[in-house]
Amino acid sequence: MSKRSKHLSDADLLGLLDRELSPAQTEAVLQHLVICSECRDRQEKLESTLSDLNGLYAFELSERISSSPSARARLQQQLNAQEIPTHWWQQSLSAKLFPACIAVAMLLMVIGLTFFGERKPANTNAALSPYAEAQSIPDRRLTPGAIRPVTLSEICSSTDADLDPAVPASIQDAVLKEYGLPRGKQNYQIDYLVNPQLGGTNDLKNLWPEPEHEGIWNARAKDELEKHLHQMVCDRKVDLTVAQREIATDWIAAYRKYVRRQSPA
Amino acid sequence: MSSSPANTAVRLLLHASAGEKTSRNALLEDEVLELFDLMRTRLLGYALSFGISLQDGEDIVQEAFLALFRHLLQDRPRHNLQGWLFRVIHNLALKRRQKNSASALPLDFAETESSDFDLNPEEAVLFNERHRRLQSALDALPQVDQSCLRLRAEGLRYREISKILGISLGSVSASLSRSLARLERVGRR
Repeated sequence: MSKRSKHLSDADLLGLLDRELSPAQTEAVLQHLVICSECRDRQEKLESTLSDLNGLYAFELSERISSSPSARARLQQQLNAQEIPTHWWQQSLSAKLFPACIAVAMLLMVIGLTFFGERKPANTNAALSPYAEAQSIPDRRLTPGAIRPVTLSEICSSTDADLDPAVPASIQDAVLKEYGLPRGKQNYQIDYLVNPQLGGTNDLKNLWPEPEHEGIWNARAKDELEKHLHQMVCDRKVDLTVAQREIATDWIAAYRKYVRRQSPA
Repeated sequence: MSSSPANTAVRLLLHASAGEKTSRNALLEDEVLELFDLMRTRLLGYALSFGISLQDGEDIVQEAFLALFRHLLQDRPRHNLQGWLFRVIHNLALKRRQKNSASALPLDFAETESSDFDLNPEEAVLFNERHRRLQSALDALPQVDQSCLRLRAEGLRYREISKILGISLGSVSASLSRSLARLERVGRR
C-alpha cells in the first residue's frame, strides 16, 4: 500500500490475488480491505476484468487450436531421428584402457564390500504389495490422461468440488469394455485419472475402472490426493502442469510425494 | 583368436552401456511426449499471441520439445521445465515473427460465431462485441504487456515471468496493473 495514498494500489490487489505478497503485506492488505469498501469494489472490478480475459484466452484456444494426433506423431518421429550424443568417457574407454578400469573397479568393489558389506533390508510393507498397486494404476496405453486448456485462476476460482462428476453410462461401458471388464462391473468406479479440478476431461483417455474400496490404493485414497494437490496448486506450491503430469503418470507416487505418507491411513 | 576375460568384460560393459543409453533415451522420449500432450495447447496459445500463423506456431512448439529432449539428454537442470518451455517458445516466437513479419496473421474474432456457448441471439451479439473490444484493446498493448498477461494466466509466478521476458519483478507487477486498467477502461465503454 502506498504511504501517500489511503487506498490500495492495483499492484497490491493483484499481488494479493496472485499470492505474490509477503505474509506481512498480505495481512496489511487484508486488514485494509475489511475497512475500505472502495478498495473492495476495485478488487471486484479487477477480478471481473481478469475473468473476461481468461474467458477470451479460453475461447481463443478452443477456436484456433484443436487436439492434433499428427503433431504428436511428428514429434515422435523427430525424437526417434535424434542423434544420441556420445559421452567423452565412452569414447576414451577403449579396449586398451578397459582392463585397467575394470581392475580398479573390482578392487573398489572388494573394499566396499569389506567395509559396507551388509545390505540393508528393503522397506517391505505388506500393505504395499505389487498386486494392490497394480490394480490401482491404469493401463497407460488405454488411459494416458487428457486435459482441457485451463488457467490457474479458472481452476482456483471454481466452486465445483465434485471430484468425480457423473460419467455417462455409455462412456462407462466403453471404459469397462476397453479394460476387458463386463458391463456394470461392481466394486469399480469409473474414475478420472486427472481430476476435473486439475483440468482433466471425461475423454476415454482420462477414465479407467478403479477399485472403489478394495485395497488401500482405491478411489478414496485418490480423492484425498486430488484435494491435496488442488490446494497445493492453488497455493502455488506445485505447478499445475507438474501436478497434471504426475497424477497422470503415477498417482500413487504422487500421493507419497505430496500427501507425504507412504500409504493411506 | 580367443579373447581374454578382460576383453570379454569390456565388450559386455560397452554393450550394457549402449543398452542403458537406449533405454534412458526411450524414457526421456516418453517423458517429452507426455509433457507435449499436457502442454502443447498452452504453449501453442502463447506462441500464437505473437501474431504468427498456426503453422509457424506448431513448428515452434515442435522445435521447443526437440530442444527439451536435448536438454534432458545432456542432464541439464530439470526443475521448472514449464518455465523453461515458455522461455524457449517466447524466444522462438519472437524470432519467427521478425522473420515473417509480412505474413503475420492477427487474431480476428469478427467472423467467429458464439453458438457453442448456448447464448440467445441478443446475448451472442453482446458477447461478441465485448470480446471484440477486449481483443482489440489487448492487441493494442505492447508485446511485453501482452506476454505478461498471458503468462500470468498460465499460472506462472512473477519471478518466472520476469526471467522469461528479461524484465524486473517490479516491471512485471507494473505491467500487469497498467494493462488491466487499460482493458477495464475498454470494457466499461
